[in-house]
Amino acid sequence: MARVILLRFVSSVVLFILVPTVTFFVQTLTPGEVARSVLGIGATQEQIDAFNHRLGLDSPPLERYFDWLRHFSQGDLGNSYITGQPVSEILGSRIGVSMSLVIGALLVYSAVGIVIGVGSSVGGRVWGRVVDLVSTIGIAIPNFWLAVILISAFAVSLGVLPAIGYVPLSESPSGWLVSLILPVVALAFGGITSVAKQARDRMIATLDSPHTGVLRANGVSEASLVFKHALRNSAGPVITVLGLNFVGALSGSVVIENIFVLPGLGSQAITSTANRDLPVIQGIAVYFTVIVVVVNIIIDVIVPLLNPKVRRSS
Amino acid sequence: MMTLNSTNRRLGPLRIAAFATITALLAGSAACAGASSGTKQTGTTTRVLTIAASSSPMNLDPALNGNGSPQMWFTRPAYEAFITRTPDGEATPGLATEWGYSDDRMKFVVTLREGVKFSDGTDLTAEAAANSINYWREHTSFTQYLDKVDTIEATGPLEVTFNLKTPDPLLPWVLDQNGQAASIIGPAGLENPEMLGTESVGAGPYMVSKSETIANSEYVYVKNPNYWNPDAQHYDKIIIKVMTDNNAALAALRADQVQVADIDANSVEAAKAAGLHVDQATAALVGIYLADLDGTIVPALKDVRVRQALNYALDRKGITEALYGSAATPTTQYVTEGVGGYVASLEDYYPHDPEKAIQLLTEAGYPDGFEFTLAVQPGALNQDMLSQAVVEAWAKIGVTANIKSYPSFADYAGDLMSLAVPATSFNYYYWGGQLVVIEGLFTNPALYNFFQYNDQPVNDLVAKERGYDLDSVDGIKAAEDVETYVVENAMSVPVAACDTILVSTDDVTGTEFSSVWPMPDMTNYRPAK
Amino acid sequence: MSSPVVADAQAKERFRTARAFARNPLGVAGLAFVLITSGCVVLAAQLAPYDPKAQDYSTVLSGPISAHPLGTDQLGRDILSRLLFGGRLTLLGVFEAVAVAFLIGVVLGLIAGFAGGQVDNLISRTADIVMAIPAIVILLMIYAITSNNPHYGMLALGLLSVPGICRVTRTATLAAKSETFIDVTRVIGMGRARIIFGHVLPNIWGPIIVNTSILAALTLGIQGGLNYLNLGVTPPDPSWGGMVSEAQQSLQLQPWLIVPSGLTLALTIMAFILIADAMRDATAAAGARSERPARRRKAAQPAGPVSERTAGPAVTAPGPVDGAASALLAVRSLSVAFGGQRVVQDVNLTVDTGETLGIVGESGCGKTVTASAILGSLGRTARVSGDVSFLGQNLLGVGRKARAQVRGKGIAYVSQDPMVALDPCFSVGSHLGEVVGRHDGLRAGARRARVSELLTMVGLPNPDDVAKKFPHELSGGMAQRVLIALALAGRPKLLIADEITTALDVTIQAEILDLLRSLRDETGMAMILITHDLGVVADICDRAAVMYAGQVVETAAAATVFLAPAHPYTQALIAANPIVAERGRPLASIPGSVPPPAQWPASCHFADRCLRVEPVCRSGPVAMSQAAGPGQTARCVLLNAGAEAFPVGLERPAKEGP
Repeated sequence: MARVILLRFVSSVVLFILVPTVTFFVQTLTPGEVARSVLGIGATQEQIDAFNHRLGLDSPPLERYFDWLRHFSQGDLGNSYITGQPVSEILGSRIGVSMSLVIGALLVYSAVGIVIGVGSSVGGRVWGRVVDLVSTIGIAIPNFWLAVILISAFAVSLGVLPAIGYVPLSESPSGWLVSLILPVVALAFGGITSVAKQARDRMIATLDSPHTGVLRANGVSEASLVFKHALRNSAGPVITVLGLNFVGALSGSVVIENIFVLPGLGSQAITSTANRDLPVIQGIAVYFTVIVVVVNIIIDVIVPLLNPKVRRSS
Repeated sequence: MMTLNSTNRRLGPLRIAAFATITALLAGSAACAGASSGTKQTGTTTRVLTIAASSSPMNLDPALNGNGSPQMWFTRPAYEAFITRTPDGEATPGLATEWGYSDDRMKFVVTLREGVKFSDGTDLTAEAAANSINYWREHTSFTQYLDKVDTIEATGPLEVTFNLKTPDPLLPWVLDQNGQAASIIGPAGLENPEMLGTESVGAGPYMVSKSETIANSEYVYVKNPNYWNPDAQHYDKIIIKVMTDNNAALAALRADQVQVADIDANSVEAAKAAGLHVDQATAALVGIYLADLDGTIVPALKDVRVRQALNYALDRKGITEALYGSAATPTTQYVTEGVGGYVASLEDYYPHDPEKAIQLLTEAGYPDGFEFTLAVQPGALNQDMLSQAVVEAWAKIGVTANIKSYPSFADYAGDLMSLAVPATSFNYYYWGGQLVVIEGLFTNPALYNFFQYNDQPVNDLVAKERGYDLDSVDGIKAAEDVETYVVENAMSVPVAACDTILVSTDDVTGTEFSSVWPMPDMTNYRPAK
Repeated sequence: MSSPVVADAQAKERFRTARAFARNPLGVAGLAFVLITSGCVVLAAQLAPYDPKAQDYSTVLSGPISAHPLGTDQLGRDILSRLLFGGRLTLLGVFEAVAVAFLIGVVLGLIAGFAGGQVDNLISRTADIVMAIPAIVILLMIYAITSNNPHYGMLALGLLSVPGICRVTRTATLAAKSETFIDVTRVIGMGRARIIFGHVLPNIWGPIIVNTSILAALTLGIQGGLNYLNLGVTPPDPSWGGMVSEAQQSLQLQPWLIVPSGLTLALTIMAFILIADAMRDATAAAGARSERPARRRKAAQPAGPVSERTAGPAVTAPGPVDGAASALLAVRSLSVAFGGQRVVQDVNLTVDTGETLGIVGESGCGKTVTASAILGSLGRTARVSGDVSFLGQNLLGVGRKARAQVRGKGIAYVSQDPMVALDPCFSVGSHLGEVVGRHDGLRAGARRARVSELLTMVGLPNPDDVAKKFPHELSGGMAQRVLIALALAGRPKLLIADEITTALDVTIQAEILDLLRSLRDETGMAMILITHDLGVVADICDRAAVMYAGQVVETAAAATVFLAPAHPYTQALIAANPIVAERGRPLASIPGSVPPPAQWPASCHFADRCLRVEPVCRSGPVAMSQAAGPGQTARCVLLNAGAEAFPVGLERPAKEGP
């Protein structure tokens, strides 16, 4: 297992360098100047030159790239071109929001998904069909569409939940929770179904397997077969799916944050991309990569713990 | 010589020759952007005003107004200008107590208020003020507003003198809180301009609370303890939340999470139905700007008949009703009623007449039409839909306009500046009036005259207008002449005069505004009780 | 085997997959929806009632009306027409992304799977890295720098999706590579390319189609979200995601408008998912059916939900329990049917205390189903009739609780294939401990001691070490011993052992049989050994029941079965058995194979393969009747026609021996 994690780290280092590098060169080598975003249409060439000079944008790209890399290796992500704020400060205030959203969604889709999946696995054929159908519908509804419908239903028509905006946890825990309900639901919906499906398929596979038959025939109780043996056997694959969904939800959060105007990494990604605020974009790419890598490592650690067979083969 | 500041005092609200400062010319992301404010009692002592704005500022530095979005909303609480214009358009003392032109109109002299301090406690001096304006002038993209000014200098401890190259009647507008040139930044900010992106060093009633502010999402302002006029600090805290979606803003208003919001025409009826207070006034023009008037990349646009054809092709009434309902009026001219330069007969100068359009195109040698690219940055006033409507109408007279939609303002600006596109959708506020608009678009040189189009009659007419007091009979006549020339020559394609719509709850008063002064100023808002 | 045969097998396989797919109504509906939608979109110009850009200011923001079945937008444009035309950009984008991912992914996957080694390593590692790239950030950038070009974004999305398809292809290629027929084609000397395109690719189709379809669904969702954000749209050309965004702007005025575009998007995504699901099921089903019978464990038992916690199998007409009171286990008139198809008919068996009964027959005869019926482990779909009386209690009639009491304590079970019969997540000690706890309820210390004792009983030398091991750490023989220990934990009166020696090699088989014999002698428990190996019967059983095609065709003392088999099938079995075969003579085999349940005649089931078949054999059902030996019964109409052994027809060995 140590080898797996080591490999992860090695490939992570590649990623940490690769992603911002790609970001840098794609942004730098194509037209469109951040100065225009900041200075506007009427800016004179002198103003633009002065702006570029102030930010060091007039030096050759390679020089800037290695400069960035040097700072990056020291943990410094630089400053926003637009506001001059340190990137780590901008993103630091936002990562909490994104994590609240994505982890909230993770909790919802894993809890609901596992309950539905396990329930339907012991509920027989009809339940299985129902779950299949509901799952398919759930996965088919695009999250942004669901978000619009939720806003229109709960916030606009019924007026029971805030449509938009974010209340920091430090300001009001209940307000924080309420402000996250709709976005979390919109983001979690698609994930519920794949978790439920995976949980059910794994549970059924285990309950169908010869070892369940043997254990049952020799007196092991149904409760133990379902909740101890089948659940444990399903845990690894389900957690793998949870991880995949987490990464998916991270992407989905960009759209969801934008719709619900949550001040997270995703909405910043859209703004910064439009404004060509390269250091911030690179910072977001790094943050996203870190999150994905951390999630993968967690899965790499957890799954073998749950299944000794995997532990051995790794 | 005119007495200082008497000029302003004499201006009646409706007779002002409407000096428009284009805050959001050219498809800024939210010209009609709303800002909503509201009062909220949290506890017995803290009065909080929460406003929903439909777009976010690029940056909090008054000089770096970038994409032209209504940045003023986000700098206004922290910065005060020389002149404070009231909702009906009257210029009243702000940081300045007196101002006026010299007899030869070649100097503009401002006397500053005594005893004013910036939020960091340093004193406002004439030198600090002059430095601030020079900083603004150096960095802003609206530098055109001060291009008739030669030098700005402190001519006394509290006296700032603008030495002019040619007479410029616009200065009292440029130096008000919307012009932003005179949103005076304290010396500490000028020494370290980097900090202005996220903090404020102003002499306004509030100051940015950096720790509570989340860029692009929520901007928080607290009382400036050094403000010169504590009576005007109606709130302890102002929060401006960015809410791009109208539905959300309305929901927030109904839940009293927000007290004031700007919304677009689609939501007016819903706001009224919800029992919210609606302030509404014609405020902005929306249309298509034909930048390539010289036919540099699209030769057809040089021909006045072609441009007239493009105007005749539009069913403005249909488009306006479909897109804006009752919150806009179809128009073919550049200013609205009540603003100097308005000519009633130009209101429907190009009625919907596709046959005539085709005939004009044929006469111009384009019987089969022609093709060009129309740049659109989706944003305020439903410009994306407006562009689609216009393009379809043009298709019916054989003219193919391909919409190029930009996710990035930088690319949009880049294309315009590099002359890659001949035309764009645009909108601007009537703030200030006609001179700035026409100057900005059609004279040479001009802010938005990317193609360096040079039309001597316009240059001459505008120069003539510039020689008068804008509210004088001659001034208004000159403005009308300019207007008539520009409309008759179809120098662009105005479509509709749109309302700015501001929705508020019962908790707040002082939200009214007018066509002459369509930029709502939240420092006027106060708790209802 | 020659390559045409291989090709033929593959053609069959594909055909089977297609047929299995066609039998899934949801999958067919999904495919139909995608095809029809694509067709409509392609023919938008012909089908759309209006030009998608044509505006009509007199009818704006309309709900569904006859002139505009799906309403109109803010410019009075027809929503239906815009949906049809909007599908072009939308589906073209999906096609672009999926095609890129598919082409590159399949090629790389094949290379990785086939080349192996460093190449595989490089490709797989790169795929891992690409998978962790935050795609959305890259996409936002692509749209920003290409000025919203709808195609580059989708192509980039396709590139970022390559690793998914690549992985699936690689895995499937590895699996296909190890299949026998690929080895065969290699030996024949086919070129590498021909192997890949002619044999590997057709065989890995299923998983690739499944994942491509899922990718299409995901791409639609992502593209919709981007279009909703006004990325990759070129107004006034419509796109489905962009229409949602437009509808949202006028939500207050006409809420209906968010329905058509969003719903179309959702339905199309759903269709792709349904296709993927159906394809997955079809591939699995076809795979299962093409498996060689020797590799099938439960030939006669259809797969189905196994849990019978909530309700046991439906029991009809439990017969009287007469005359069975003295026996430990008495099975009377037991019949089992799945979905109306009888797989076990009228089985009668008895096992006395301490007695060992062998149930013998070829695969597919219903041996395991019979055992499952006794154990009560048939799925809900099974219809069981007759009665299974254990210690005088009809197990088919009792409730869940009583049944649970019998398990382990009354009747225990040892399954075939020990390597999969233990839960891989738990140690040996944990398995045994749980069962011991269940039966004896001991404290931890005593429980450990009992576990140790059980492991010692089954002849495992270091019980404490074994207890710590996980199933995958055991050899087959050890695992089988552990299973026996598990079965012994409840001190059962009857042990049912299903083909327990089949998966083991010969020396271990003998050891296990020895162990069973000694355990039987030690504990006095009765046993039912299910086997197709007559050697096992000869070795250990007191009595034998021979099953053929769902019926018991003969019961007798073990010795009688070998010395004087009464039923032609038994005779054929014995003739085919290596134990009795003469040295130097080719092994005899029974012509034909066991017919599937659907083809069982009402008359003698063996008639078609019987060398002595006569017209009377086909005249009607055959009952069990007394044969020559003591306690010997057989199901043959010819019993009285000639009791002595008849010559057994000898055939060349076929692929399947008994």
